[in-house]
Amino acid sequence: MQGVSNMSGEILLAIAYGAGMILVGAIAHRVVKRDYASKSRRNEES
Amino acid sequence: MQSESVISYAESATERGEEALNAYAVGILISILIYLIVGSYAGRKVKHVDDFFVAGRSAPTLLIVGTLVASFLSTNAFLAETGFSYQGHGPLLLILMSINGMGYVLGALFFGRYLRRSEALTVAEYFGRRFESQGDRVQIAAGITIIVGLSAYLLAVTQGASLIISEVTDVSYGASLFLVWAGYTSFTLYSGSRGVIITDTMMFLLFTLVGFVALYFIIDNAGGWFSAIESLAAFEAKPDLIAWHGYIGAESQWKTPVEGLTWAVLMGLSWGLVVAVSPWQSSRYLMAKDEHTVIRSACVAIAAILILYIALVFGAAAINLVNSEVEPGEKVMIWAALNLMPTLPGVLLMAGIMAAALSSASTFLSLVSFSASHDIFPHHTQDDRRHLRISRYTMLGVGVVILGLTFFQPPAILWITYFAGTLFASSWGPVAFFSVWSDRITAAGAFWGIVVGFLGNAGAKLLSVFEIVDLPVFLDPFVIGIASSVATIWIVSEMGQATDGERSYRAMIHRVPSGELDERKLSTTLRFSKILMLTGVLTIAVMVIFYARPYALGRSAPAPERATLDAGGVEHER
Repeated sequence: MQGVSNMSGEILLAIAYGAGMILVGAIAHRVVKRDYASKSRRNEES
Repeated sequence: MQSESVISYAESATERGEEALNAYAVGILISILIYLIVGSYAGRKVKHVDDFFVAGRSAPTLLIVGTLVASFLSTNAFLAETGFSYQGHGPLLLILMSINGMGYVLGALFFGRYLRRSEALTVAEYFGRRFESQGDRVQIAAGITIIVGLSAYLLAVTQGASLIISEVTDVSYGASLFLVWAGYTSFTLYSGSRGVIITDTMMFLLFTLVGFVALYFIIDNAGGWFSAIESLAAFEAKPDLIAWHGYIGAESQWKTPVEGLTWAVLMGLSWGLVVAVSPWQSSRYLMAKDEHTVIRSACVAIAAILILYIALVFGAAAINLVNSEVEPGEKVMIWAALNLMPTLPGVLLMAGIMAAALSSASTFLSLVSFSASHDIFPHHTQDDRRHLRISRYTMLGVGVVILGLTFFQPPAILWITYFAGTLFASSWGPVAFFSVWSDRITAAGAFWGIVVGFLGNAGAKLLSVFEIVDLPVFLDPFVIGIASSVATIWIVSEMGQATDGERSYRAMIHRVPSGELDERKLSTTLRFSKILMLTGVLTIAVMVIFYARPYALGRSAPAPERATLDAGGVEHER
């Protein structure tokens, strides 16, 4: 039990450490698609 | 078997260190010589002011990543922060870095690519153009913060590098100061940003590589990865050394886990803003060949920094298993290079630490000089070659002043870098983002926002350092600086109106240049964002398997009865 309770903080740290990259990667993906993909298509249409 | 190999290593460590003393000096000198050769080669291609200031705006992703990371990491990362981890605060540093790193991508997306569209030569010039009704005043205010903040930073980095040389050679501290200064000044003076981004990238590759080489040898000495993590989890000399909150208690800077967490989150936010908008980070985007390069570089930079910090933090912490009494802690990586590594990798580690220092120094010197010659005392010559010559003379003058200051100012690396770094978060952060995202911010609001943010942070820090006030953790000088900057921008901007010129300039930087609308570029950039997400997933898996799980096993197991060794190879029981 001691091990499990001690582990939770460290697991959270492990998750938080990688989660930042996932989060900003997702934001970058969305913003890049919004700003460059739709305009590329619009550009082709016009 | 492992303890035997540790004994043999440690017994011969001091001896090997002395024998190899000259090898470290020679290694460092050779590395400086290589940067000089590369700098002089790159300098031959500097024909115009654009080449000198912004590397011709043609740098590819690798060079932008290299210069972003190399100018961010300095002796602070390899000496002060490894010492911090060695003393038991590594996990807080990891929390800090996870937030800090996000600043790269958010900064590139919401400030950096708009900054690049301005086609300014310096970030201060961008502020001047954006707030054209009081452009000179805003540009000068931003330029002065660069000169004050980055000169202090340059001072600290020069002294840090000189301490390394005087530590591992017989060269005196004064002579080391001159050697280090002459090294980075000469290649920066000749080649400007065009040379700096190439040497920065070489230094980035070197210190990243040696960070992992050092980790390998340290862990090997500490009994292998899983054994080391389990032992550190139950390490009695420094309790909670690698627990999520690190070492806390009456003798620690933080009394409770919440205090430590609050500090790490606030510093992470502060440094996240630094990497998003500070002159020595965002100015790199002015050199990128296109906006896709800006975004791709940011994606790689966060991944590179977060992966490197895993090696630095756990490597430094694991040194405790061999010797937990290195004093001061800031010298722990130098101790490891001299005592835990064979000569060649040790030499490479010392050269890598020196590279981290020199790369930041060259960037800071160039930015301080650019601000002096372009933002504070602009000259309106149309002659490109004359402009270039004046910029080089200014750089030499700035360099001489810095060299003089290094002799009079006692070394205080961590204090100065943490102080100078976060100054930009509070003075530039709000103005930078408002300049892109608000139509209501006025030139006066921007000017006073920069000034009050700077003075608010610096004033609070001075009051705290001289123990005139005792600030709680949540009221860090950065928080006071940024809150006063935002309040000032809001109040002053309410009293006036942005001009039509300022509104149209903002509209201009929001237009995507036609050259950026390219399907091939788009799909490559999207791939970078996907790879970043995948790296995040893999990092979580690695951290759980190689840190959280063995840590839990170490905590639940009975205290191991194993021997540790100190620097002189004296065996003692824990």
